[in-house]
Formats: sequence, C-alpha cells, structure tokens
Amino acid sequence: MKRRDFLKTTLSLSALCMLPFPVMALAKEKKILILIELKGGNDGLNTLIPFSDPLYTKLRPSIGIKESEVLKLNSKLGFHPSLKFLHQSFKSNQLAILQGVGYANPNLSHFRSIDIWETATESEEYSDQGWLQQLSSKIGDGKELVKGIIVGDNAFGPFRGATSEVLVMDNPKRFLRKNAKLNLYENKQVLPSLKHILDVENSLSKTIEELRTKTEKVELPEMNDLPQDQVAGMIKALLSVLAAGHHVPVFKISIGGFDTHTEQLNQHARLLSVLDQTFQSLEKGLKQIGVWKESTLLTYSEFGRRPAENGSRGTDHGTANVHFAMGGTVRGGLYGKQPSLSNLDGEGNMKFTTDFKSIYSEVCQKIFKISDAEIVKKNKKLPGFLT
Amino acid sequence: MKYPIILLCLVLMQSALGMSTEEARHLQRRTGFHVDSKLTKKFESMTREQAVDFLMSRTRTTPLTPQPKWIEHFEYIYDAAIRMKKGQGQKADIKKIKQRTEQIIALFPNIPKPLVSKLRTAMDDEKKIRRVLNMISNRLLSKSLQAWWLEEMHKTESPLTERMTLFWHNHFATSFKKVKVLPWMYSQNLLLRRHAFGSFKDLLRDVSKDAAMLFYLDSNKNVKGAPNENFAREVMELFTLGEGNYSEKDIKEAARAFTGWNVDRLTGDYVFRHKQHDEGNKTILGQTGKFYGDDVLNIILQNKKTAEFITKKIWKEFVSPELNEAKINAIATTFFESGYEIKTLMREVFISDEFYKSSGQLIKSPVDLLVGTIKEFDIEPVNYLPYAMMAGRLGMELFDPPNVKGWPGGEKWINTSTLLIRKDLMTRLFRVGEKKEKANMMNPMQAMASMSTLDMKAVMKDRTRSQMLEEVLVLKPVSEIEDKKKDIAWARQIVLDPVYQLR
Repeated sequence: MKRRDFLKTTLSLSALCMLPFPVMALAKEKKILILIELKGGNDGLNTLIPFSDPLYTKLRPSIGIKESEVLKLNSKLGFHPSLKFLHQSFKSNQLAILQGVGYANPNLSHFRSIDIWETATESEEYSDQGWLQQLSSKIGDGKELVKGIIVGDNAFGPFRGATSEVLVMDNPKRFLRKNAKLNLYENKQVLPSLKHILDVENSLSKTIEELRTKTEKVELPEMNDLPQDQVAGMIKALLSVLAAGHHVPVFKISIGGFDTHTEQLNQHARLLSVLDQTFQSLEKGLKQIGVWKESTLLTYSEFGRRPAENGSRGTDHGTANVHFAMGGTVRGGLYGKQPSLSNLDGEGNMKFTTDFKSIYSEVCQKIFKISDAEIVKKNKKLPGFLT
Repeated sequence: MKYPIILLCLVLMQSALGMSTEEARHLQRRTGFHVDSKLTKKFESMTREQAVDFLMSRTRTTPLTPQPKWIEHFEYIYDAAIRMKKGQGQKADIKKIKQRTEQIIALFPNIPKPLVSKLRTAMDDEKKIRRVLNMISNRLLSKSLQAWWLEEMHKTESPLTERMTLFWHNHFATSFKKVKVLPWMYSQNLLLRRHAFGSFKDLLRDVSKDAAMLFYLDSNKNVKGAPNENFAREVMELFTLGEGNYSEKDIKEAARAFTGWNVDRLTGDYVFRHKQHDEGNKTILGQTGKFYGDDVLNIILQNKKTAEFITKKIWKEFVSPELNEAKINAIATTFFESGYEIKTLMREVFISDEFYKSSGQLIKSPVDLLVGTIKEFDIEPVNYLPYAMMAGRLGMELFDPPNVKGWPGGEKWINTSTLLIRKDLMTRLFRVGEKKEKANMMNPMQAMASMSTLDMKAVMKDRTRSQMLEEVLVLKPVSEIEDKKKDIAWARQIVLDPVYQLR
C-alpha cells in the first residue's frame, strides 16, 4: 500500500469513529514550555547587577556596569541597560528572576556542565537520558504533534536519548521540503533492530504528514521587532508551528555567543538585548496566537561567569547564575538568594543558592502535573515561581 | 547421470568443509565494513576456524595512514607555550611559533578567514596561545584527526584492527574537549591499536597511564590527603568489573592507592610523584596492603567479573544486543584462563554458532554507514574531512564520545533526526548526474557529495544485481525495489531501504 493511500484510509476511518463519540478527554491543559538556552555561559553578574555591593565594582573595575546605567529593581539589584523589556516586565510583575542557580561541585567545562544541566544529574553522575526524556511518557495529553521540537540545533539537548516523538528543525517549511521521501511501513517485524528503524520512520512519516496538512496554509502573525540574530528564525519557526494549531509541549531555542572571555562589554550588551527582544517577541507572538496563558518561557545556560574580570576585559567560566521565567503560568518576582561576593569558592566563583533541579522539579509539578518523578521526589523544596 | 552426482558430492563436500556463502558474508560484515565477493569465495573454501585465523593473522599494530602533518607543528607550539608559561621561554620563540602557525594554516586551505586572522593575531600574545590552540583544536584539527582515522578505516587491509581500536576507544572513552592536547589523543589511538589484539592486562595498564586518560579522569588531581575518585570509580564501573561488583569503600580506598599518578604537562609522559602518594594501608576487594595503583589493577584483573564484563561488551558490539548469558560466561572463562588474551576472546566469539545466527541484529553506527558505503560502492573520497563532519552530525564525533560511558549506540543511533540525515545523505550520494559544485566545507552533506565519485558501471562490473543486493543488504529489503531503473537509481533504492541500516 502506498503511503498516501494508507494515510487516507486511516484518517477517514478514524474520522468515522470519532463522529458519534465526541470524546472530551479530561480537560488536561495544553501547557507549553519554551526553553531558551544561552550558549557559552551567560555572565549573570552583569545581567542582574548587585550595584550597591562595593565588592562588585572592586572585582570588575573595567567591565562593571555603572550604577547610573543600571535599571534598578530595588535598592540593591538592577538589570543591565540592555534589558529594557524585562525590566518593564518585572515591574508589572510578569517576570520571575531566579537567583543563584547552580549545583554542588560545579564543573567548569562547557561540555560537561551542559550535560549536567540537560540530564539533571549530580555533578559526578552520567546519564544518557535528558531530563525531559526521562519524563517523556508523562508529558502531553497524547494528542500532541510530538513531545518536543528542538529548533535550530542538531542535538536533542534535554531530550537526548529519545529516538522518536522529538523533532529537530530549522524551520517547518524547509523541514517539510527536505523530508518528502519517507515511507509508511506495515511493521510486523520481530527483529528488534529493524522494528526500531521502521518505528522511527513511521512515526516521522505520520508527524510530517500532520505537520504538512496544517502548516502549509499558516499565516504568521506580524513580527517586526525580532532580534537581529539567528534566534529570530527559531522564534518564527516555533510560532508558525503553534499558529498552525499543533500542540507541542516543549520547544527549545538557543542564543549563542555567551562565552565572553575577552572584551565583553559591547558583546554582552548586544547578547542581552537579543535576549530581551526574544522575550518580547515571544510574548507578542504567543499572545496573538492565543496561547500565552498556558506558556512558560525559561532560560538556562551551562554556568555563570567568574565575578572577578580577567586580564582581557572579559570573564572566565563561573558557577551560580541568574535565570528568567515568564509566561501565563509565571508569578513575577525575585526568587532564591543572590550569592555573596565575599564568600567565594576556591576558584573564586560564587556559591549557588538554588539547585537548578528544584526549578525542573517545579516545572514537572506545576506545568506537567507530574508528581511521581524521581526529580520531584529528590527536590522537594521549590522556588515557587509558577502558579 | 554421472555429472550431477559428482556435482552433488562436490557441493556436499564443500559444505562439510567450508563456510556457507551467508556465513562468509556475515563474518565480513561484522569484522569489516562491507562484503567483498573475492573474500566470500575464499572463506567458502575455509572452515570458520581457518577463516577467523586468517583474519587474525592480518591484524595490525600500527596505522597505514601517515601521521597528520600538523601534529608536529602543534607539539612545537604547545611546548613553547608551556615553557613560556613556566618562565623558561624566550621572546625569540614567538617568531618560531608564528612560523609553525603559518604552516598549520597552509595545511588547511579551507579555514574560515576570521579564524585565520584570529590565529595570527593571538600568536603575538603569549597569554593567548593556549586558548587559541584550543580553539583551532576544537574547530579544525579535531576534524582533521577524525578524518585521519576514517581514512585508515577505509584503506586498511585489516578493517578488523580498526573495529577493535574503535571498540577500545569507546570502552576507554576520552574526549579531546577535555584533554585539549590533540597529539595526546592521537598517541592514545596508536596505543589502542598497538594493544588491540594483545593482552587486556597490558592494555589496561598502559591506557591507565596514558596522558589523555590521566587528564580525562583527573588522575593529575588525585593527591594524598585530597583524593579525586574519578579514575578509581570509572576503572571499576566502566573499564573492568562493572556496576555491582565493588563497593563505594573499594573506590575510596583505590583512589588513595592511585595517588601520586601524574602526567608531565610538557611531554605527556606518565610520572609518579612519591610525595603525593598515600603510603597507608588500603583494603580493596577484600585484600589489604600498602597498595600502589598497579596493585589495584592487578587485584581487579584477578577477579573473573572483569573477564565477564569485557566479554559481555564485546558481545553487544560484535554479536547482538541480546545477551546469551551461558555462552558469554563460557567465553569469559576461556578469556580469563588465557590470561586475558584478546585474540582468544575474539576467536571464540567469531567461531560460535550464536555469532552466525545474529544477522541483522546490529544497527550500523555512523562510522559503519559512512565507511561501509564508500567501500561497498568503491567511492573514492578526495578528502575525508566532510565525512568526519558527517559522522559528527550523525552523533559520532570520533575522539569525542559524549561522556566516559562512551556512545550509547544500538537503537540510539537511529532517531528522528539522524534517520532523516542518513536518508538525505544517501539520496545525495546516489543522485543521477549530480553536478560537481565546489565543495562548501561548512555544509558537510554538500561537500561529501561533491568530493566523492561514484562509478556505478565499475561497481556493477563483475556482479549481477541480485548478487549485489544480497551483499549490500543483510536481509531481504522491506521496501519495493523496482528493477526497471538505471543502475544508480536502482542502487539508491537499496541504500534508502531501512535494511541498509543493519548489519
């Protein structure tokens, strides 16, 4: 049987079955988690700035942000001047600021540390499964297009270890064009290796067909304030999938270039305005599509950067970092505790105050309503930023 | 009447003595990267034992492909940078460093321009030399090292040697991303090949004291009074005994025994620092004494669980993900009693009935797919760099497994992303009248296609389509293969069939 015929039959059959029984699944909300990875390790200390701490200026004589330029949040803390939109959002109680996020025995290698973040392991543990992959069977209501879409990257990141139900793509239209040559097989294989390959190909064929039927006609909402960065394409891709009416519980997009070892002032200012505009355009787009209420934007990064600037007016790899969350599910405010600049570790890095796994734990419970996962059991104390 | 009887007798004799065609092909798929008709014929006249001994007699201990040219320049720059940091260098070195840098640049006409200028300016500043060396290592030289190995896999007359070297690389996993000094990754590769079919005892001892491993598992940070357990843990969990066959206490005690092991940053040589060694008593796996690192390795090797763990892993790699416990234990006993001779282990595996019943149970790794395709279809790559990049896209960066556990492998090779890339790649390589555009190194798929020549006429010269089908596919195709097509379009159907992903 040719693929199209097969699909037609299955589709019409299921359509027939559906008619007399308008089954209303127990209203499980279609929550959307949008992860924004800041690749390279964002300098949290020049993002959320403890401007009143004399140690800050002392540690950063040439790259410290002047108090007069800081967008103040309270008498001690303020934002980098690039974060205008996030500043507004905080003032209107829309933005959650998660302070001092990190983990015990921090690893300062980009590769290893992002592994730790994406697999939610302890520093000395190794896992081949991403933290969302570990929860995959519990995410979504069974009617989603796929569990997750990784936009603009080749690796599955927090879904690593998945073989199907996760897609990586640059943009949906190009994805559809490229992938026209798939088959749908009748899969009665007993050989596990072959069965697996056919399973992956079949699930991909079905997903692509579903994506195709809805996505081809989609008009994207007007977007004229997208950041001048590769992330703009990712934002458009994500919005166009949602605008087509697909449900996808998790998206991941990323902004690159945060590894600012040298001459970081201008570079970092640009990166933060890209981040600021990313939040702004996502909010706008998601509101226009009508899914803002169920959306959560959340940043992550392999580590923060060292408080003391280095000899090239940049910063080296650090530990504890600040992260942001925003969306219809988020309760604005400051969470956790800003790490002290007077009590640094042996490498001269800040000590974390909030374990990133407790953020994941809260995401599990509040967004995906999962209460029996390992990560939930191990992380009972939650930051409290989700409603 | 006479002739058919004689013929029948001959066929019977043949089958009594030699391997069947299917067995001969299976042995090649598992010990090499493709099926060679001539070798099939040869094996058909041999018993399993003879065929396996033939393969074993051809294994190599050194690579055929010459050392990449940049290694020597890299070593020079690295050496000078370390000396300068130690205050032993002279200003004059900067000039020589720059010469060497230019020599590296000249080796790669495709280096992106911004990277070249970054390289040139950074070499003025001694503080930046190491960082820039790391940068080009990550982005360029590592790819070149991967390409070097792929070339070796392609050209060697003993693909089994490369399979085994790759097995050990995945077993004793280290990554250039942490080790950073690429010549050390290269020399580790030579070490793994040298011992690939030797004694596991020697291999374990030497790889444990190898620069890349000493750095990768932090042996250089493991000192008396402040032990670092990284190596002690992984050597037991992943390299020898396997989880469940030691206690946390064993790890703690072993870490103390390994204190003092270190590496000379300049030469990469193993050094033992007496002052950093913890002289006290240690109790490891029930034995107590003032143990040193080598003693720990010996204690671990005395435990038969080590032979079982290695045999199980070999089984998964060369036979099937389904473990036949009884057979594995029997082979492990032989392996253990031989004093850990790897040849003995592999011979037992390759002559076993279970091995010959496992056709199609393994999924091709990215390297299997790439090297297999160029060998099967006589594709002659002009340059192996895009192949190396492609392997990375497909989830297998050589010299950079994801962590100390190595690549998860098996079914994990095929996911929604990699299956599409595999299919795209095959479509691209087997395209009728592919225009040879200039290779764009930033786009490995395009570069691969434009730097590879496929001559279907030559490929089909001495074989029929049905023979070809049986050689290339381990099982009957699951998609419909239309015969009324030109050779290249016909072959494309085969490489796009899901069965092509199996071996």
